Amino acid sequence: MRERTVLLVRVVGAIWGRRALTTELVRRELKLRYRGTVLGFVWTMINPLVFMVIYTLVVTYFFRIEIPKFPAFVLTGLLPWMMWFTEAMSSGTTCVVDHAPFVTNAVFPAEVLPLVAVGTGMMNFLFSLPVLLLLYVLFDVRLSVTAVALPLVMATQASLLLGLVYITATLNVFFRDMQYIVRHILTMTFYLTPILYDFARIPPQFHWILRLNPMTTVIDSYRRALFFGTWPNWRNLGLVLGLGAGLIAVGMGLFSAKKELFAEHL
Amino acid sequence: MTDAVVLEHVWKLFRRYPVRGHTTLKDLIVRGEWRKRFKGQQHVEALRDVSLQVPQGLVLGIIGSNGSGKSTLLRLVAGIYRPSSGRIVVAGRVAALLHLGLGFHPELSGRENIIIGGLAAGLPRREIRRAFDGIVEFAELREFIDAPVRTYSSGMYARLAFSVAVHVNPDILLLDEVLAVGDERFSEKSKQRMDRFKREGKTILFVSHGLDKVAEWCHEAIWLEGGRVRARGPAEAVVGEYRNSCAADGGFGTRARVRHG
Ligand SMILES: Nc1ncnc2c1ncn2[C@@H]1O[C@H](COP(=O)(O)OP(=O)(O)O)[C@@H](O)[C@H]1O
Ligand SMILES: [Mg+2]
Repeated sequence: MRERTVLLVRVVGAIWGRRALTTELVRRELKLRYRGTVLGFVWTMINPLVFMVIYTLVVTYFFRIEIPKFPAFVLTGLLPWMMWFTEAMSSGTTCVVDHAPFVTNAVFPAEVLPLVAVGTGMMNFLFSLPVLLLLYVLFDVRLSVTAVALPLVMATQASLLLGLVYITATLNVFFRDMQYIVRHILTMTFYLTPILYDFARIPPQFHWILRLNPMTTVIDSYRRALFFGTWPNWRNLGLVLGLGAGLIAVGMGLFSAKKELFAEHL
Repeated sequence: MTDAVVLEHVWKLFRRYPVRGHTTLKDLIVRGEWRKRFKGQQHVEALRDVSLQVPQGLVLGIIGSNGSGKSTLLRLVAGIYRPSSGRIVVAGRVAALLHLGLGFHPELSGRENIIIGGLAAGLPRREIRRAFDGIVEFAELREFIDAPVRTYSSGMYARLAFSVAVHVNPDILLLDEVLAVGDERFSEKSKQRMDRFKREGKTILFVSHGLDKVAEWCHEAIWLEGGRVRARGPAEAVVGEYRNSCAADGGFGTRARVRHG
């Protein structure tokens, strides 16, 4: 146990020592994606917007389910999911493999890579927030004081993602199927996360099933804080934050234990 | 004098199987690789019980036939591989030029690679900025520095790699057969730079098949054979011993014999 703690402290120290590298890599990822143009960002935004339009069509007009201001409602859940969660999960799972030329370099601290993937996704999400606010203005959704919970909700999502990515990135070096498995799980989880629907409207006897998925609480918290103007369920959010911290400890431990074997497998 | 690099009873084993590339879940389940992975697996013993002390400021040549473990030794010191057993202690900043293709991301420009390489080596941004022009100048890549590295010729690539390695001000330099690449003029230039490092008292581990160069330039040398240190001593003596043994084998006899079955 003490050894584990020492190991963790060392990993965190190594990451902290290379924060300049981390920011540089995040900046590069973003630049690569947006190529420094406004249009580049528009392309990234188009994806959730298209889904927003389609889901609005399907849910409000085909299914005739009444959720007021549905486009704003659904985009509030879509953005953290598409711009950040799936994005960081897929690029994070392949991060070590994708950066093979760096990882096989003598001095490169591979432990920053999952952080770069999660950080890039977070920036992506932050950049998309103005679009959400614009939609709020269009649909007359007023932000209330509960919006100050946003940083905490984001921190919870970040910790959950980091923990997961340290694990999947490590596994993917040894079993490349991991990236496909992750992709399928993401597709399935989308429907098991209250993005298209409102958690509060699900029959209570099913709540426990949805809660097995920690992203349920995260998405629900975004929606309460931003869209509904109510406070998140602190107990649930705290539990997910704790889960995230635990996953980070496990994930970083796994990653650094296997790190020196990466070069042989790339 | 303190030791810059210490190896204590270092072994390095490699799995013999993953020739096909990486393992998939199908291999694990359908082909029963799972069992193979955990028992009855054959290993290549790339290094066997190697103990070595390299005092600060020593230029150590490493010689031996192909497959004797030279590159593996350098990679262990660089921290790229982990020893299967034994202990390695490295004191100081390491710069490694291990082989072509290592260290640069092909999709990024030379400039981005220099910056990321420098940050990865733990240099502060301001120090990289200061060294940047020197690196580009030395590598003679001014017009190409914003082109992706994949468009570089192998000579340009080697020049950049060498230039970065010597500009991060390492305490310990690991060189694997690199001085052989690049044109005549650059190789002359890099030799001068290496001489300067030697004079400045940097620790250098130098793998080469150029036996004359090793004998003349290194203080000491080790001779690896089948993953073991067969001899260590003054460079000239070890090179002489190695030459004699090769001659007794009939030149590159060992290799030829394998080839003819
Ligand atoms: N990544 C690896 N996977 C499996 N075997 C390896 C790997 N790297 C080196 N080897 C084996 O280890 C032995 C030593 O290789 P190496 O250190 O490259 O020798 P040298 O540089 O002296 O030619 C060889 O038998 C080689 O096949
Ligand atoms: Mg070699």
